[in-house]
Amino acid sequence: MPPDWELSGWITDLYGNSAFLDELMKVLASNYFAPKVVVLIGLFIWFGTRGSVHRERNQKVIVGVAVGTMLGFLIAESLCLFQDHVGDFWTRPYDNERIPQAYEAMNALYFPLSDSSFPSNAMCGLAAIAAGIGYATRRAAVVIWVLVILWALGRMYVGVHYPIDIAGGILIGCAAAFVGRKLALAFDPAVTSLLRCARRFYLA
Amino acid sequence: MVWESILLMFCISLGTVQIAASWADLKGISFFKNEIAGYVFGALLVIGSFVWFFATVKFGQGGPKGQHDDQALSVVLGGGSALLITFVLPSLMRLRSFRQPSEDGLSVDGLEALKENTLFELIRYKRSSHEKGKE
Repeated sequence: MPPDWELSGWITDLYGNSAFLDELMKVLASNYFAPKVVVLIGLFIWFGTRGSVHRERNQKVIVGVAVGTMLGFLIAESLCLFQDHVGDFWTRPYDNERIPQAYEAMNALYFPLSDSSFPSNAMCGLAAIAAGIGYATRRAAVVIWVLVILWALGRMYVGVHYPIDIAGGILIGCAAAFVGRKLALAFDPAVTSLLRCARRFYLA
Repeated sequence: MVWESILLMFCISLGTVQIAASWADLKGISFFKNEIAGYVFGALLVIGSFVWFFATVKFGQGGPKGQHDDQALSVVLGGGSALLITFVLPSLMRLRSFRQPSEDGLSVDGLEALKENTLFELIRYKRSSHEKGKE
């Protein structure tokens, strides 16, 4: 049982009180909203940055973000695999009998997940992107951090994560973004060649 | 379900690139001459697609999951085909009025070259200058 299960129970307890809130949380928790919006922000930065020098700088940041995000997922997946061997640190909220409403919320708004609760892979990926994009544009990073918070709230609301899962995912994501950025800088000649190749096809 | 996800990705990518093209003044990949029209078209496409998707798809147990494989497939197929349309459609729209690429556009490479010229114009120019070089 995670130490913050009561907080999770309090959040999930809001389920069923307002149809509007349930619908909103269904959208926010969904894998089809926040991740897609983040992809769109990346796409906008890639194509929409004005000026070739500035554009190349931002595109290099995006390559670093991609590396960092993959690294974050790799760490999170490794932790899940580790728990497959030693047993899960704790069950998901919807399997926690002290939070019966979490199962109802998950059943109506989400779906059961087969991997471990800690850390949140989703938060790990999105936090890596938010932290990484900050090296290119602060405004976009703020928007993505807002999405991270909304997605986190949604996932707690539908009973698939405890706050500690979210915090763990965000910490791993931020660390991965930092490493991704350093790797992109260390391998700058390779990234520059990659972008030069993309420019030949008018893609960068 | 996968098809709805791919269609969503296609529409929102198309809309976003149109907004980006208007913002960065990339006329060669913009569907519209007027940049305001590009913003409006892009915003309507993105918002409308999300509204359609969440209004029609039923979530909950047995509903769509949108996990890694689904996301990757929709990004590659939906996003990829949106980019293809983005590059090809403006070229086709300006095919009839084919003109020599602008000099400004030829001195730069990558997306910068698409500020004044479409993809087909640039390819055609490159091919003809390559053939001239051979002669």
